[in-house]
Amino acid sequence: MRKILNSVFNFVVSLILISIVLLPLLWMFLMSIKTEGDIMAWPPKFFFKPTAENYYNIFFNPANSRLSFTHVLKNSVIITLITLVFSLGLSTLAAYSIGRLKPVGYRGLNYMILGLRMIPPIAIVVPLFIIWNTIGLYDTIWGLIIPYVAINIPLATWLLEGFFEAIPRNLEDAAAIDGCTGFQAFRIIILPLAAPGIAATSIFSFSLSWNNLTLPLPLTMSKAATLPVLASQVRTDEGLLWGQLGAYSILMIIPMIIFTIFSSKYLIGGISSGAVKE
Amino acid sequence: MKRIITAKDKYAYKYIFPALIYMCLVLFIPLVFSLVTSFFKWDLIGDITRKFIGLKNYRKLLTDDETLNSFKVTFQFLFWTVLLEMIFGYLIAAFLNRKFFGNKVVRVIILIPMMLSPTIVALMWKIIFNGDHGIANYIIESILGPGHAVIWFSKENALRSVIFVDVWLNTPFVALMVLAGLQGIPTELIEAADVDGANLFQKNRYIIIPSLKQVLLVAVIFRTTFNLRQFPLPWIMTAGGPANATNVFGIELYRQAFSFYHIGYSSALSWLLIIITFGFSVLYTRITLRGEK
Repeated sequence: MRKILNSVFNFVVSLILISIVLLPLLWMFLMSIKTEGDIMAWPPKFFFKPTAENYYNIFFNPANSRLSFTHVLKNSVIITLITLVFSLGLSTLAAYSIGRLKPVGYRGLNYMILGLRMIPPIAIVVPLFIIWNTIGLYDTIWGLIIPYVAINIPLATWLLEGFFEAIPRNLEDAAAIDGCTGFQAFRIIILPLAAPGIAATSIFSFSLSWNNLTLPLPLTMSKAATLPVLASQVRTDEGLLWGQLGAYSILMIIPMIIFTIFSSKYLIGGISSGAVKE
Repeated sequence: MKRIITAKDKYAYKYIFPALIYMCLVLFIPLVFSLVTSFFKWDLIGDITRKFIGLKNYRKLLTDDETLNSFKVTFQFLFWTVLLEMIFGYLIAAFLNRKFFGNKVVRVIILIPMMLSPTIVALMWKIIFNGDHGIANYIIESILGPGHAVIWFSKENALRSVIFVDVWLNTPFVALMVLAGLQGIPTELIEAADVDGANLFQKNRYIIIPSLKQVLLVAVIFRTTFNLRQFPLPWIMTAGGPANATNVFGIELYRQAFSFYHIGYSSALSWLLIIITFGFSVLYTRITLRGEK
């Protein structure tokens, strides 16, 4: 009896959680495949003839003439990928050192990383705006990548340290006995074991630059504008352009959802249990 | 315990330096620039001459009505978002730590909100909460009958609506962190407690909560400092209005800098935000360390 009650409880709570997350997104998706007439209908229509016109329009007949969706999409992809590579490269090295090699003063360095993590991006946006305007980085792709990497490193290092710490202690010693140099041990033995951690961290780094509005809104105009900037400029008050907005959103959300599902197996569960049998 | 720096340490530093030097260049230069600027009267429109005015910008922070109102709004926003996110996050993590069919699916779906752009999330809820065509009021009126429609962005409700969306967006982050913490507790520890006949309360009190202390602390610090700088959600949903009812600190800073072009004053606001952020972090850390003694 208790078992049945337990199952019912688990099922009901699961259903509630899933609905809270997915129903709003589903509503957004439905909007993106509705005609303007169907969107405006009252009571809201749950059954209607789906249309692809919103998706067609954002590519070929955009409502925002200043920012074209394809251009902004290209910016977002380039900026996000370059940021990902640089920030993960730098922070993997730093996290390996702090989390595992633990040199003298690693605690202080760790506090410093956490301290840098605490710096609000919105607090450096004003000086960046002035400096970028002076040196010509305003409204450029690098004008966004440079601060994104800096903001990314503390978070990524902080997350990765834990993964490096969790790798069993005596692996490097074993590698040294087998004749590996320090860096070889890092590259050949430790890095693959940290791969799940790096994958998990990369989701956060990806989402940070893909989703960010605080930096690109003041630091770009049109040339280097990213997807959130475009979305933020759609006027929604009158119910106008909801369909196009839905289409933007769905296209922007899809890579994130795929990324999440793809990497979730790394997020979930232990990372290195059983790597060394004591 | 003091140690001298060995060759091994020097080797370890080599791995840290690239990241450290990069961050110092990219973060410290703007920070210093903005600290210096905060002592100047410097506007980009009107009278654009730079004048050294000492601490006047900081004095204005404590007397300006709009800024003071922004502190009040920010505090309300912080209090409710952090409280609700921690409670729901902990409960969801505890639920997801149970073994049941479909557990993994729920975990993956729960991750979705935190991966979404706050911009999109804000727009999504703005449309759902729309007064004339929004589905939220349709559902409420279908259940409670006509006349119960809610004006989600009225002066009274706007902040609550923004808080609701922030909780929807950020609770998964807390849940994920706490869940990772729960999974980090060795099962042997729990099994040993079971063998010793500990009940659910005792297990929570003596094993789970102490083991999670670090994780809970980090989650609270992160949520507090991140909600303190919250900008995209209120910017998209209400732009600080109506009548500054949702004018959180991030919005105030952004408007001072990029609507009114008060560069000097917004630099002072930036530094205040940094100082408060560090204040919170130090406070939480102190509290936890004291608890450990």
